[in-house]
Amino acid sequence: MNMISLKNVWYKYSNSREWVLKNISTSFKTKEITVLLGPNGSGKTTLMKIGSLIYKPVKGSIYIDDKDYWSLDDHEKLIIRRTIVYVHEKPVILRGSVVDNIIYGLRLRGFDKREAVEKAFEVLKELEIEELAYRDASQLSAGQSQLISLARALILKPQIMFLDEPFSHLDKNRRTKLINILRRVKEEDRGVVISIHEEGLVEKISPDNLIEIENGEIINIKTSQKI
Amino acid sequence: MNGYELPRDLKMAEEEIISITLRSIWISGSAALIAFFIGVPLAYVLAIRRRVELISSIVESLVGIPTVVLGLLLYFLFSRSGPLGFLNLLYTPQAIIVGEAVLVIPLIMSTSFRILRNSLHIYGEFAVAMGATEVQKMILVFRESYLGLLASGIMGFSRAVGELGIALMIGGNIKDFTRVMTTAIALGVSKGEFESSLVLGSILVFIMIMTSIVLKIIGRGVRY
Repeated sequence: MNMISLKNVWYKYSNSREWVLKNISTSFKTKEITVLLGPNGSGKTTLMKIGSLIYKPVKGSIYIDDKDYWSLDDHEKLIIRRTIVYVHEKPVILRGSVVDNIIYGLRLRGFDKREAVEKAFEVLKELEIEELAYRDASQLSAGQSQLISLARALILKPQIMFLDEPFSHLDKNRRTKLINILRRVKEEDRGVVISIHEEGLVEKISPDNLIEIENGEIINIKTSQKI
Repeated sequence: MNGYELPRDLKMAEEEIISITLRSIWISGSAALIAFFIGVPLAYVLAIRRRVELISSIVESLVGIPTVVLGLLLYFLFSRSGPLGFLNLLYTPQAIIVGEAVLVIPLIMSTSFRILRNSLHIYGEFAVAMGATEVQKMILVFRESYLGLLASGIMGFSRAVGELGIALMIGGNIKDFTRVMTTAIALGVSKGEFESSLVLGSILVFIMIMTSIVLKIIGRGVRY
């Protein structure tokens, strides 16, 4: 998988009459860092969830390379879905220890527990939070929970990783550390899509693409030279 | 007779009180268990669907159904000339179990529905984001909401053990067979045997309080 393309995507929630996304056409690629910039309530999260194949658009299509994702059978969908990971803005923490949380995705993919735990320690080391390994995950701070959530995505080495406001609970050092990790992810020929609402972060991330979104519409797309 | 001895009618009834209490717990426990294993899967089926407001409203309104009305309906169902008369269930503990299970299913369904709906919103979407299959998603949702579901089962037991209408109408209050705490209390009062009724009433209240305490303890661990 190299590219997720959204073609004329419209979306509204079942309990609402208003369109959250209006006629969105864009693409997310591997080997690139894409930033979605927009104010709160502009539709960034919905766009991320559609791009990461969690939500089905009400109108329009999603192509994975040249395949129309929502017309594939369940097995094909699952194979593709397992190459993409979406990380929620509000970290979802499961019962159990930090390690239990981090290995969840690997266990879903049939990894042996011992092997999964070894990989978890590699990621924890990379994020410099090894000391949290066997802590009760429900007792962590917001920033620590966010790091666990990121570790859980990083361990899966997805082709494209969607991170919804990943910097919101992180301090300056952790933000820099995360940006470096994301650059390394890109160097490994994988893609990252990040949603943010702080314009000041764009320069620090220095993405390959910047998509500005407002009121459910893309108002501007810039590539790295223009940024 | 010294001051520490139990009243005579109560002393004579001691064994019966224990047997009635155990029978009540057994019958209501079985009913709650059956209702749990029917109500929770049904709640999950409802929770994964959209636009179920009408069905969930109907289920919620059935929570408060008067037990005498349900008892009457079940009496017609189980009576010899009724559609289920061939089962010969009327005036048996099994009939009370079925009746109380029917009574409790809407309660367990509606509470479990809310718990599972919230859980699906958070953990269901998370599981999909992590690449889970439908079965893996369901396992995660149940794993993360088991305390809440357990609490709804205990709530169901509490409702079943305290009801009178069904136990009286389709159980028949037969001594050493279908007599449970609530029917024994009603009979005791009608015969003027207030002491044994008071003891049974106290045990019933004690069971209710214990159930409530267990629910509170479980509630502390529930996350949505």
